[in-house]
Amino acid sequence: MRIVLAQIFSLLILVYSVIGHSVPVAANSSLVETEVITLLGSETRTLPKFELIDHHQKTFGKDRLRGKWNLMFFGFTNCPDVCPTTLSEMNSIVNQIPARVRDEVKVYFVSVDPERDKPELLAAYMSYFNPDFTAATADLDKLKILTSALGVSHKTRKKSEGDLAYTVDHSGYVVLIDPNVQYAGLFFSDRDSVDAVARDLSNLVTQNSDE
Amino acid sequence: MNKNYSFVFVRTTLMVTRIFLTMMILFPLASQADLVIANAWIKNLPPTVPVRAAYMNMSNTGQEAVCIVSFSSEKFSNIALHETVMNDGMMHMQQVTDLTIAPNQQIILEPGGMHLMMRANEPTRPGESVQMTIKLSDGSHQSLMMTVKK
Repeated sequence: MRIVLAQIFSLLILVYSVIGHSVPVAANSSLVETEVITLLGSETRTLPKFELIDHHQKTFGKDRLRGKWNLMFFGFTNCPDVCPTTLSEMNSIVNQIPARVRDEVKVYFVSVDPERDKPELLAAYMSYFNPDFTAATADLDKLKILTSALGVSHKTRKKSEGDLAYTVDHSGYVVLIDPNVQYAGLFFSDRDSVDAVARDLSNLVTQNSDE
Repeated sequence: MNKNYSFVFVRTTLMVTRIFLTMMILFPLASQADLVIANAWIKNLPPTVPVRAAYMNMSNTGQEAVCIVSFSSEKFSNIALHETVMNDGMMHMQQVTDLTIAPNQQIILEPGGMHLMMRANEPTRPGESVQMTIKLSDGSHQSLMMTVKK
């Protein structure tokens, strides 16, 4: 009898430890009211496994996003207008977030132009905007796993085969990925909404840590 | 008689000069005076990036339309007016070929909208001033200074 009880007890401990590790920190974004960020609520979905290379030439996958609130923007470094403007706004947003929760928010720039945006160029780009930001890219097949999951589109506009001054059309919204690595929300960045996005993120982080 | 003649001549000359100067102030001859540029700036990027965007407010304070033919600068090449538009759910850069500003109209080039797309001939740095020349359809030119900002 004691052996059976011990086995049940051990099983309970095992189940608890497995659940404890597999169910991450609660990140119930749907309970938070936001001003700018559109939360997906019941449409929140887990990201598939993906593999990119970051600007330090290290593998960048789902695990890097776990446990943080992540902002992800897709673009290319030869973009003169939307991408640098959005990254500058991301920098302002992060700086507006109170210091006690700032570490919980990470910013990622994913290049959809792997032909030109090699890791060393991405490194120079990130160090210019904010050394704490991470840039990553991958060949188009690998990128597609992530972009498809996030509904992000991109299209290279080459005028000829050898055109190296081409532009790339791309989705212009910023994606919010929650600490459970779920696609949780999105917003269009705008210089007038920097403060409101910072408030939204602060509330999301605070809500998460309070639970 | 000669004295009177000289007096009338001088007075007439002064009057003509005064009218001419008044006309110059009220109705400037060159159309460039009608194009007022304000808040002209270039968004800086690291030296590894060969493109830059420039922004400004352009106002036509005159009575006739002002047509801009081209922009040029020693520091940049391939300068073209672009507009960021949404196309198939994506941000797309579209060239604007006709830049005519109607009387009393203001056109604003700003991030996420219209901008000058330029290829940098050399790196830029924040705080730097860059000269640019605008060529108008009447053949006149207007010069402006743009500030490079982070």
